[in-house]
Amino acid sequence: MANQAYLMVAFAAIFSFALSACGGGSSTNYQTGDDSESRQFSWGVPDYIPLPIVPEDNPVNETMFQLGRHLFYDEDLSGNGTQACASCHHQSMAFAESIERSIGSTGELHPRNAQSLVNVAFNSTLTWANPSLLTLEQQILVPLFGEFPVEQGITEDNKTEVLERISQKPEYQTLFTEASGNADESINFEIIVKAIATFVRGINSFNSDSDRYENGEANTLSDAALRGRELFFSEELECFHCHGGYNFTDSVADSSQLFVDTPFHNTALYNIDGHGAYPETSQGIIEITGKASDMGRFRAPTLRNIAFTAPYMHDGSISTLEEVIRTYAAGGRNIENGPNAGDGRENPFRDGFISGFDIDENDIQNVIAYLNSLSDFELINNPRFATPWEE
Amino acid sequence: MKTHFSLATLASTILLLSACGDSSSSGDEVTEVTEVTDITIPFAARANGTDISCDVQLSGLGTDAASGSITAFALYIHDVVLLNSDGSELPFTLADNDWQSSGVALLDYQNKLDSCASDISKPTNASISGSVDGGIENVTGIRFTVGVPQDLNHDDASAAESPLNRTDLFWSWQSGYKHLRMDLAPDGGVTKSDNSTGTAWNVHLGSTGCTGDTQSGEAVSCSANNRPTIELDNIDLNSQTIVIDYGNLVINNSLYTDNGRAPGCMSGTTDPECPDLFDALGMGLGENPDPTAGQTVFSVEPL
Repeated sequence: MANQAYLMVAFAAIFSFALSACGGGSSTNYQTGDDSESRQFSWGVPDYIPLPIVPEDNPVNETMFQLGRHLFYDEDLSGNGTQACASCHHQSMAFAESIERSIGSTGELHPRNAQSLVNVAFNSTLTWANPSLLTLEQQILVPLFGEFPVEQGITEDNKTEVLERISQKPEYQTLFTEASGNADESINFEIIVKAIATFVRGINSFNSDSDRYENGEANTLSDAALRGRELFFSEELECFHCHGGYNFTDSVADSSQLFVDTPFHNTALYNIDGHGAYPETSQGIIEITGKASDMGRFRAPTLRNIAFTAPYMHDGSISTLEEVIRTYAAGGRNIENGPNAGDGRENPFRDGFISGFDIDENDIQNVIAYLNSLSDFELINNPRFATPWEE
Repeated sequence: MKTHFSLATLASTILLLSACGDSSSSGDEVTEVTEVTDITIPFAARANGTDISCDVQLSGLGTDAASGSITAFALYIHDVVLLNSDGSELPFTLADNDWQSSGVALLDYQNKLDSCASDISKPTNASISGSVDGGIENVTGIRFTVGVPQDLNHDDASAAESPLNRTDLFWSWQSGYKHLRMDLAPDGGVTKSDNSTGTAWNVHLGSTGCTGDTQSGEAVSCSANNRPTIELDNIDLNSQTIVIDYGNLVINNSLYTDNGRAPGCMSGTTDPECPDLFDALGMGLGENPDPTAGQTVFSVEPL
C-alpha cells in the first residue's frame, strides 16, 4: 500500500506541469474502484464516500456475501454447535449485544462488550484494542478459534467435525460451489473466513437522519438534535476529535487515504493503583504492545447507531448514553469503592481530549437527540442482512 | 523515491511547448512557447534548532523552558506567490499529488502513527511543489497563507480527496478544518486552573464564529478566519529553506500550565493561552482583530 502511494507521488510529479500548462485535467489521486468489480457490489456506500480497502486476495462479490451470511447465522460454526457469530451480534442492535460482556459457546465470560459490526469495513484496526489486527480475515479467526477466551470454540480436535456439519447441509453444497467453484474442495476454513469477511464488509449504514441532514434534506433533524450537533462538534465537548469524520471515529480506513492511522485512546475509566491501571481482565493495547504508556488505550468505536448498542465502553460498564456524557463531562470516571476503585480522572495516560466540560441537563438531552439521529432504521430492518435460515 | 521527488525537481526550468489546441487544425497555428519553472520549496519544522519529529525530545520551550514531545504537527498552506525584486508577482501553481489538491498543500511532520504512540512509521511531507510561469531568477520573496481557503473550508470533508480527507484535521463536520495543528505532550503533564493534571498542550488554529448552514445551501462566513498570511523577504530559493519555528510560536506561553478553556489554545476568543500564540503568528484574536506587528514563527535559513 505504502509503495503504491509513493509511486503515485512520482507519477504526479512527472505529469503535473503538463496538466497545468494545458489549463485542465482534474486528477484523482485515489482509487475509488469505480470501474472495477468492487463498485458493482452492493456496498450500501453512497458515491460521495470512498470505498473501504479490500484485501486483494478476497475481492467482494455477491456469492461470497450470501455464503458468508449463511455462515454468520449458523450455530454449527462452533465447537459444540451452539453459537453463531449472530449469537452475539444482533441485527436489531446494529449487530451489537445488549449484555455488558459476551458469553462464549462454552459459557466463558468474555472480557469485552460485543461491538457493532456496522461499517466495520472502514475500521483501521479491528476489535477494541489490537493495533496489529488490520483485516476482517485476520479478525474472524479470533472468535472462531480463540482460546482466551473461548468464543465459538473451534479447536484442532473438533474442526473436522465442524466442517462435516457444514458439508452435510445441502444449502452449502450450492453456496460453496457458486462462491468458489467446487464445494468438495472449498468447504474449508479459508473460504469460510473469507465469506464471513465479505458478508460483514457489506453491512454498511449511511441512511440515518443525520446523513439526510448533511446531504441537504430539509426538516430531518429536530431543534434539540441540531443543538446537540453544535455541541458535539464544539471545542468545549471535543466529541469529534475522536468521533469525527463520516464514520464518527478517528479509526477509519478507506481507499482515498495516503496512509491509514491506527489511533487509540485512554478515556480515563479506571485508575486502580493510582498509576493508571485498568482491571486485569481488559487493559487495552498494552496487552499487545507491552508498552506501559499503552495502558487503557482502546479504539474509538463508530457512533453510528449508538442508540441501538447499549451498554457502552469496551467492558459494557456504562449502561446509558446519559451516563457516558456525564463521565466525559467529569473528565473521567471516579470509582469510589469496590475492586476497581480509583479516580480515572487522575489516570496519567488519560487522553489529552478527555479534559472535562460543563453541561446542563437540557444540553445532555440535546446531545442524545443528536446521537439518536445517527440511527439507521433501514439497516436494522434490511432483509439483506437478516438470517437466511428458516427459524 | 521521495528524496528524488523533493530534490531532483528543485528549481529545474523546463521549456514546454504549449499545444493544447485542436491537433487537426492547419499548419499555421501559433505554437506558443511558455517557460514553466518547476519548483519544490522545502519547509523545515524546528523548535529551538531541533528538527521536529515524533522521535525527538524538544526542550527550552516557552517561559518555563519546558520539554516535551509532539503528538501532532501539521499545517495547510495555500495562495503561494513568489515575489520578484521589482515588485511583480509569480503565482505558484501547486501540483496535484497526495499532499496537494485543489490548490492546498499539507505539511506534516508527524512521522509515527497513533499520535506518535505507535512504532509504525507514517508518511510525512516537508515541502510544497508546483510551478510558476516564467523564470525565477529575480525572485526575492515569498508569500503564502496558512490554512484551508474559505471556498474549500466548508465543503463536506467526508467527501474530500487527500490531503483534505484527514479526520485528525477536521475542525467539525462542515465548519472547516484545523488550519494548523501542533500538539505537544509536555513532560510531567500540564497543571490546569482547577489543579488537575492534563497531558496535552495543543495549538489548533481554525476559523471561529462561523454562521451559515451549508446543508441548506447557505454560504458559511466566519467572524474570525484565523488564516495568517506570511510574507518572507530576502530569500534565495536555491540555497534556503523556509523554517517553521515552534519555539518562537510558544515563546511567551507556559507549557506546564493551562489557565482555562481548551488545553493549550484551540482558537477560542476567550482562551487565555491564545493571545500570545496569535501575536506570534501576527494575528489579532477574536471578532475585531487588532493585528500585531509581524509574525515570528516563519523565517528562512540556509539549506
